[in-house]
Amino acid sequence: MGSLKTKIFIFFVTLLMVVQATSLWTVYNANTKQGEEQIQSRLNAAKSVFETQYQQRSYYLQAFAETAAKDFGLKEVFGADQRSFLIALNNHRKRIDADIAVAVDQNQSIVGQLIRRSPNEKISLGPDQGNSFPTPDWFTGEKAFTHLYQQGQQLYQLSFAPLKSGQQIVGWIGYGYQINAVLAQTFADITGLSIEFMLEQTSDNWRSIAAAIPSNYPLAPSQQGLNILQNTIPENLIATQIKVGVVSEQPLHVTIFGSRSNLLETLQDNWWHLLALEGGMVSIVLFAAYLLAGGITRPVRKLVRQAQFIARGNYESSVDIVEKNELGQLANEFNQMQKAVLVREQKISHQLKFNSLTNLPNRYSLLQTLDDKLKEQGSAFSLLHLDIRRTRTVNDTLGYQIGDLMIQEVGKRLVRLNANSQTFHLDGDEFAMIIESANLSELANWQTKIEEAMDEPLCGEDTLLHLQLQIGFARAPDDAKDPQQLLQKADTALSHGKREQRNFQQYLTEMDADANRRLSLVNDLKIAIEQNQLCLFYQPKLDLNSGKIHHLEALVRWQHPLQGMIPPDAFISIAEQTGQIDALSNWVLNEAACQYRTWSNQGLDLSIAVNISADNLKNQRFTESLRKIWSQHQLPANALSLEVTESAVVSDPESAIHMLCEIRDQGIKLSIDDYGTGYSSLAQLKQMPVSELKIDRSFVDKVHLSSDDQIIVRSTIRMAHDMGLSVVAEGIEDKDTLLWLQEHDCDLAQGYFISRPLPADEFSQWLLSSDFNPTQLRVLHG
Amino acid sequence: MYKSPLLASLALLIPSLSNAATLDVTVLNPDQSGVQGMILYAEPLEHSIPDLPSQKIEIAQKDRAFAPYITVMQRQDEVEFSNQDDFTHHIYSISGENRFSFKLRSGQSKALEGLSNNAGSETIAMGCNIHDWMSGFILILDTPYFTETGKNGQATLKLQQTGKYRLTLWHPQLKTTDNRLTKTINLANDQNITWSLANRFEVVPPQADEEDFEFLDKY
Repeated sequence: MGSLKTKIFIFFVTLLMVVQATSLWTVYNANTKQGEEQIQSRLNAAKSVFETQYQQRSYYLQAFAETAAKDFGLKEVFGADQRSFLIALNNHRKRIDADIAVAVDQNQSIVGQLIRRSPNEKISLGPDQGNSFPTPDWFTGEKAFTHLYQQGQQLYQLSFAPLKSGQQIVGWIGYGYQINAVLAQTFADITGLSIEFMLEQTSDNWRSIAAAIPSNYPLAPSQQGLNILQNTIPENLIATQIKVGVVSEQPLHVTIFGSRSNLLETLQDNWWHLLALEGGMVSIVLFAAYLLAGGITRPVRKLVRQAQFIARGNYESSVDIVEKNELGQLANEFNQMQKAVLVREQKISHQLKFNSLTNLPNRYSLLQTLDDKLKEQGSAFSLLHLDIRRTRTVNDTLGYQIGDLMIQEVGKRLVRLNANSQTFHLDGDEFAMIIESANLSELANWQTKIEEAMDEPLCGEDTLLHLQLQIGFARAPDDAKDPQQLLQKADTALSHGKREQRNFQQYLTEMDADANRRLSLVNDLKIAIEQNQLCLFYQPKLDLNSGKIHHLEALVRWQHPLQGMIPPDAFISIAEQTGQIDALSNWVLNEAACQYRTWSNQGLDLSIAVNISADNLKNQRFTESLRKIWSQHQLPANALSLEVTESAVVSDPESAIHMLCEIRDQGIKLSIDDYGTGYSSLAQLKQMPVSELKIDRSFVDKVHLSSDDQIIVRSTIRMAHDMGLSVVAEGIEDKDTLLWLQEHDCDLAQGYFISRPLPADEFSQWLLSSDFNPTQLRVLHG
Repeated sequence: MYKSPLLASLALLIPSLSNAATLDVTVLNPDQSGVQGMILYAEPLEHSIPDLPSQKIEIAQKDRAFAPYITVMQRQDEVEFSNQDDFTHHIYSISGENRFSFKLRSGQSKALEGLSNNAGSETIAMGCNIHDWMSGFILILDTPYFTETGKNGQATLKLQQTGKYRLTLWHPQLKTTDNRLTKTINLANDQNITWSLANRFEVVPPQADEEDFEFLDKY
């Protein structure tokens, strides 16, 4: 109802109605006026017709009387031979079929009166024959005249002319017509109006003399005539009246009247024509208005339809409006907008489906592709989840540009191996690849191909980068029938491979159980800390100078009530990921402090090294909690020492080093763990407030066999000593290694060859019974 | 306008009579202008009228008119119509009992005798049935004393004897009963009478066609 089209249509209709109403009103007024004028003019015309007719009849009668009066035959017998005179008089009367003929002599005696009282009657001698003429004063003049003459109940229009002997008037003869229905009818026929002659005998006493009503005017004459004369003309009549003359002092009137509706019949016809015309015009204009409204709104509707199309994502069609007006412009803009939207949507769609860094299809695309592939019946394929190793380290040390470069390079090489549509860049340093095979040996070929592709190092900004990938894979449809799951399985395989230090890991069903176990550990860890399910094992560090043990490293173990012993790698990472690392470190420090007290009371002075996480250094209150532990257990500063990995300092070196300095200032000894595996620069090493350096076991365990490792370890020891640091070597598994280290001035040694990590009780028993017993030594050397 | 051989003969006759008297009459309009052409006649009331010989009086039809317009005659006189035009006239009268009708060809004459046997004056109105406008009058009197008013409305009657007379003014256009006015006088006392008309006497209509009728000249 409220559409533009309807509004325009209604507007036009309203306008039209107003115009039509105005025009109708004008025409109606004009017609009414014209009707009145027409009536008036018709009446005037009728009046004029009547008067002319009546007058002409009078002239006619006079002329005839004059002619007859000059007839010598008539003259000769006038006053001489009465019979012959009457015959002559009648002969003349016959010529004009007069209703009356009168002859009067010089003495105003009626010498001849021939009369008939109705048109059908025969002419006869009148009753006044021989009498005096009732109005002798008519004859005082010398000219012909016409008067109304009454004879009995009849009225006549009578004209007299003088009968002369030479110039002397010797008598008068007159001829006349009756005022009767014939006269009325003649007049009615001419005018088409009713006519009635009324004689006013006395005031308000009227007598109808004659009347004529045309057959199509069924009106009772007398009453109407009376009404008219009394000026009470009914509404439905038009009427006028004329005073014709006077007879015997009684005025004779003629009334002319007609039915108004009949008279206006032609006008009414006009009205019908006009109404029909108006009606026709209204319909035509309405139709035109409808078309016009449609014409105006058609482009708008086109635009609306197009907008709906676009809303549904259909960009193919365009609005086709040829008009040059605003709507045309709008349509143009619309098409432009549609193109722009299309471009933008394509861009967004691209961004949605492609990674902006490598321009490879992303995770979303992968899931879609997988979805399509999984729907194909009987297709077997594998999904490889690839992860670039050490990306984070590269980003941290060489910058994100190099990191990105590396990611791009890997992407390119992978695409070279496998078609674009089969290689995906999931996120960061993670890629995925679809291999159209589930065959394990083929997959092994793929592993080789990928590794070969990555062989050549990447040259970037003065650096040679080795590209190393870790790969986990899952096979469809055996491992999963759902894209998300398949990806999850491949990811699980990758994570597992990472933990197990394997570069190519197939998904196995057990991994899910492993993952589930990890998940349950997250919840259990908190309980474990609170309920003392954790315990510390201790591994000694042998002083290669003295051959005694004064230091040991505390290693946390978790005796799970259901799952048994859980290795630290498994739950420390969980603690880090779930924000429980502070609680864990706290527990370890407290436990170590207690153990120190216990041993100290037993006379054993053993400095315990505790591993702390990089996350501990991010907590500003960590130094505070250290101070608390020391004061609570009244520990000497060197009771406990802290071991930090190189990478702990990497993410925010400044604040980490600041915190380490605070810790050192409290007198607590710090050492760098796993030295050589990270990318810490020597500059950083110089800044670190540590007093000890632990060479990673990977350099140590085969040091007596590998000359390369020997160079690294030897130079590291020399460098550390030069910087004033003591050196600890870990991973000593045989005597040769120990001897080599001792030979090369390594300060401390740690490993299974000396002792595996032991619970506190076992450790103190072992220590007391071993050659490394420090108390013994003290006794020996004391 | 009017010629009467009778009047001329009368004038010669009267001085020979004894006791003769003269009556002067002046006929005036209401505006005191004289009325010309009025016929004045006197009828003695106290004595008889002498017998006079019959005369022949001619009424000519000339130039499509009666000449004279008015002819005054005594009862015993004879009237002769004489057509002096070169076309036919149809002369008629339908006045009272003095009716006649005859056609008179060019140059012909017709005498009429015994026009009236009635006592008293009579008027005959004549016309021509061909020339409608022609009009003539004959006044038949039983007295020889008649005359016509002159230019100033004056007329003189020479009467034989004094005594009472009935004086009558007549003219066909005089709008009175019988176109007459009468009064009785005693000549001994009234020898000079001024007769004032109540209404102005209208001019005598000419005997001519009211419309131009030029073609008549050619026939």
